[in-house]
Amino acid sequence: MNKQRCEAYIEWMSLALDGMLGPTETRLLHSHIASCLSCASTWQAVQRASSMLRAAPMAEPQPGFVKRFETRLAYQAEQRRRTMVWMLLGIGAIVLALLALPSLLSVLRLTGLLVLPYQVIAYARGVANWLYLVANAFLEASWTLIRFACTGPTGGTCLLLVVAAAGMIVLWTQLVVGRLAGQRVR
Amino acid sequence: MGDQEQTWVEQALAGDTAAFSNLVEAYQKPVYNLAYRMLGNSVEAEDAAQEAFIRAYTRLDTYDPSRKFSSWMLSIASHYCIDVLRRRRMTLLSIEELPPMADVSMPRSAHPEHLVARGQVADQVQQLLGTLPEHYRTPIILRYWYDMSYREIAETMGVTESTVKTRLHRARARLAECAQQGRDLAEGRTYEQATL
Repeated sequence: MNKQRCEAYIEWMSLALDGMLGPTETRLLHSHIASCLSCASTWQAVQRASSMLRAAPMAEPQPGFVKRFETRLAYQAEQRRRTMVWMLLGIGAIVLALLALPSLLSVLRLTGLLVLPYQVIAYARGVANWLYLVANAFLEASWTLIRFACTGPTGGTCLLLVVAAAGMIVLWTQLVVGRLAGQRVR
Repeated sequence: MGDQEQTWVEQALAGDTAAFSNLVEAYQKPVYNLAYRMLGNSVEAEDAAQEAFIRAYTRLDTYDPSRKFSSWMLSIASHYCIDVLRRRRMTLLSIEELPPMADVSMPRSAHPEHLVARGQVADQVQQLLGTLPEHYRTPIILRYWYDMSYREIAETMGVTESTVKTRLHRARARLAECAQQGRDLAEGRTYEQATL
C-alpha cells in the first residue's frame, strides 16, 4: 500500500461523491479500491457517512419564528432608542449645567453666599498641596536610598540597611497586617 | 434573485419592517437549519438564526442584489455561528477532552434508511458533525443540505473554490474515520484497536 497514492485516491473519493470526477479518474479510483483493502474500507465509510448526511432532514424552527423575530427587532430598536435618548439627555444636562453655572455663581456672589465655595476651594487646595509635599518627600527619600545602594555602600552600612529594612517590614506586619487579621478573626 | 424578493429588499431598505418579515418567513427554515447543524442544539440555533436576521436587517444596505439573497443570508448566519462556536470553545471542554467516539457507533445491521425510520439518524448526524472543526463543518452543511456548488460555497464562506475542495475532502475523511471508529466500537473492539 502506497500511503501517498492512497491519499490522492481519498481526495478523489470526495470529488466522486459530488459527481466531479471524470470517467477516467472514476475508473482508476474503482480499480484502486478493488485492489486496496484500506481504501475499500475508507470508501465504504465515506459513503456511509455521506448517506447519513443526505438522509438527515432540514431542521425546522418552532412555529412563530417570524413573530419572535419581530418582537426581538422591536425590542432592540427600543433599546437603541432609549440609549440614544439617555445620551442626549446626559449631554443636554452637561451643556445646561455649564451654561447655568456662571449665572448661579453671579447670583451667589450678589447674595454674599459665594464666600463658602471660595473657602471650600481654598481648603481643598491646601490639602492637595500638603499631600503633594508628603508624597514628594517620600519619593525623594526613596530615590536617595536607591542612589546610595547603587553607588556601593560599605559592608557595615549594608548590614545596617538590611536590618533596618527587615525591622520596618516586621513592624509593618505586626501593626497593620496583624491588626487586620485580628479584626477578621473577631 | 426573484422580483418579489427584490421588492421586499427595497421596501425593507425604505424602512418597511413588514417587508423584511416576508424575507424572514421565506428564509427562516434554511437559516435555522444551518444554525442547528452548526451549533447542535435548538435553543442556540433559534437564537443564532434570530440574530442572523437582525444583522441582515441592520446591514441590508450592504447587500449586493447581483448575489442570491439566500447565499448572502446563509453567509451571515454561518459567520455568526462560527463566532458562537469560537466563544463556546473558550468556555467549554475541547473536543479532545470529550469521551471517545462511542456515541457515534452504528450497529452493522443498521442501514441509514432504517435509522431514519427509528428517528436515530438526527442524533448520529449531529454527533458526526460535532467531530468537525467549524471551518470543515460549514462546507459539509452547505453541500449536503443546500446542494450548493463549490463556487457557491466559496462565495458564501468567502474562500476560494480550491479551499472548499480541500476542506470537503478533509471533512469527509474525518467523518469516515469517525463512522468507522463508531462501527468498530459497536462491533466490540476497543477504542485503541479501533484507532489503530
